[in-house]
Amino acid sequence: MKRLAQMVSAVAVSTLVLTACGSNSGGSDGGGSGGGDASEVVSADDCADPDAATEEITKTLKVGWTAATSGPLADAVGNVIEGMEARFAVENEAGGIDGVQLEVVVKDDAFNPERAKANVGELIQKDKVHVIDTFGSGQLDAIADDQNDACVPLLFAQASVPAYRDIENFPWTTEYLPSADVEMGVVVESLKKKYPDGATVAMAVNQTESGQGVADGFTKAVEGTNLKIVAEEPLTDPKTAASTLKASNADILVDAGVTTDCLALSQAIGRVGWKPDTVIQPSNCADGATLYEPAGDAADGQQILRWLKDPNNVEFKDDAAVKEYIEQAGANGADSPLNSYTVNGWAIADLMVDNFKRAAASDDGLSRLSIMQAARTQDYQPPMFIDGVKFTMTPTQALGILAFKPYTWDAAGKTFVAAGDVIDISDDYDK
Amino acid sequence: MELFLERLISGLTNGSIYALLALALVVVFRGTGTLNFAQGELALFTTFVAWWLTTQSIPVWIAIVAALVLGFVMGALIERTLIRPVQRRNDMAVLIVALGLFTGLNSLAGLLWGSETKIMPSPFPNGLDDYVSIGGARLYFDALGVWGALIVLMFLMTLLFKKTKIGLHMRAVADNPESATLAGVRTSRVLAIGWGLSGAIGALAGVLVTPLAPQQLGLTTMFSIFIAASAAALFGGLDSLVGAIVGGLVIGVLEAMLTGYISIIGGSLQQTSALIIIVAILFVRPNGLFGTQKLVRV
Repeated sequence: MKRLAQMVSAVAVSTLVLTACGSNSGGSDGGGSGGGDASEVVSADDCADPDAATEEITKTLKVGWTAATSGPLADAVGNVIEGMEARFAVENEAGGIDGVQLEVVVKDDAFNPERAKANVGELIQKDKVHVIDTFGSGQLDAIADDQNDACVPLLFAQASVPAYRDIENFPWTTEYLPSADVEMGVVVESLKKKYPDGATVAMAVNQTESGQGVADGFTKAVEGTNLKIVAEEPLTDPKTAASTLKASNADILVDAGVTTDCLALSQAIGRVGWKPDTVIQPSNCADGATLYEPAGDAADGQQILRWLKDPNNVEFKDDAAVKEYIEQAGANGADSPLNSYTVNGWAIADLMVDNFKRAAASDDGLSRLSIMQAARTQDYQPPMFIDGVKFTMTPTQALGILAFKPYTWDAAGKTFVAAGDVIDISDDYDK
Repeated sequence: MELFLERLISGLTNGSIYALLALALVVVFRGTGTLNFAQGELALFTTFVAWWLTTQSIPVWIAIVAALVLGFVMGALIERTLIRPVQRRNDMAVLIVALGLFTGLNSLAGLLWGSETKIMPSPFPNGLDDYVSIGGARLYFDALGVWGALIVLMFLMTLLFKKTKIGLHMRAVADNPESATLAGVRTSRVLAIGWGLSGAIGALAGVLVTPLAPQQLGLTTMFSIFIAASAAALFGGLDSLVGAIVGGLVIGVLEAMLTGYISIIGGSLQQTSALIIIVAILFVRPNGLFGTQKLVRV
């Protein structure tokens, strides 16, 4: 019995340690100021093999993925990659990037950062990929140093870690997901309009760096406004958080959580009988069918910011880009073109294709270096981005998405409804 | 007071969930002296089956019965085909097999039904208005259903172990398998029934728990519940049915109170508090609160 008990505690403690993996590095988010030349911030001078970084890419351009294609995230990751492969297939059919065909190489890391690091070593050294992508903050933490040392561009990581927006320290890395500071800045802009006389705010915070990043972003954004944070609770147990926050009787509830918290918090506030005047959900809680619909009336009227067109939404049923996307994605192997992850994969591929084309048109031709320099000067609206939302990078600003469109969840209609025009705060970040 | 009652109800509900799975762990331990690390994932798998049946327009209660039957069959088959052959050689091997089943069943569920979150319908009314008010706090019928299931299960288990022949045989095998065999008890059959019973209890826990779980039905749903259930089983004593229930309820309430009243601890260390309990109990009482101490004649 004693030996078994010791084993139980050892396994339990190991499990806790493993669960804790996936947290990521810190840093302060934000854009830089001023313009500049991409060659000033990205060059091959410090590369382990400068010649490889400037070597022209011919025949095939390989994009290597390390991501969880097994385990709980497999469906989401699979859809992102299918979306990308479908978009690349369309480009290849049209002749590729000046004749260079695009290929995706995928390695499973099972959401284990250590495996991601090993995968990237293989992708760079054995598979000779020209661009890397990944899914998850822990993964990005594990691989960023290696890909920067090797000067292999890591483009549009599915993460939002402030540290990797530091162009000086990570010149070969960019992130796709919006900065929490930017998103919360837009949230506060919309709240200021809705509550000109001020309001009280309660925050439910996931105890991870992602959640804390959203909470910090909101706290920073409300400074100097008449929005007052009156309560903050960890989201460890949504029911307990809801009970405690309800006692604050705040006007606004902000979910500073991750995807898995959205439905849980909606259900929890419904069950404790709390209906704040406004509930703000994070932009990563984009899927209506799984994250809002099951909560029924408890989720009615909840607000979210979006940057992608939702092919399920009647608002876009006549949108030419959406129609073309659905047709082409479906015809090129994407099993779930209506899934938001598939749309993300397609949009990321679109952004990559834009970079590849501009790199190929540059004086140096298509190389890892020219791709990275193109990525540092991108100013592009993928067709699946909502009109008015662009992905903007400058040699001194690496925030990407600086505008969102607000939506509210309509429980009766089981859909998101536009709640205003696109809010663009790019002027707050000098270009 | 309302806030305290809300937290108490939440803690008791979570505790009942832990206790249900802890009961399944105890049933296996009593028969084989093994902690079944695959118990949570076995429950997850049968819950996925129940969910899938509901998507085929089968009523939820029938889906639950099917999950219980499947849980029993899978538990018995696992004992017969995987556990028994390796247990003859080495007790450690049983743990390894259980850990293998843990990952295997999870992967199989992912392969068959994907990793996206599923919504398992509750067998009890669970609308926003389906509750009774106690001092201003809401006690929902689905939570009440879990409490009721735990009480009924405890009653049935007590009857089984104290009033039936098979229960007597199970106790005899748990106490001394060799002597039980010499007395004519079909040990192998009893062990298979014990694992089957454990699989069925786990299946019941899974289908009742999932509609209440924050993450609903996904590949990680049973993970934290299993950790807490293991702590509960250990807290109460791995061979005590009463201990499993007391352990589950204590851990559930403790978690709710820690998270609610000491947010600096409960926010990030809610699960750790359960693990600290394991370690503390190991130091003070290696056999848990209600566990029996084995005596050896010398």
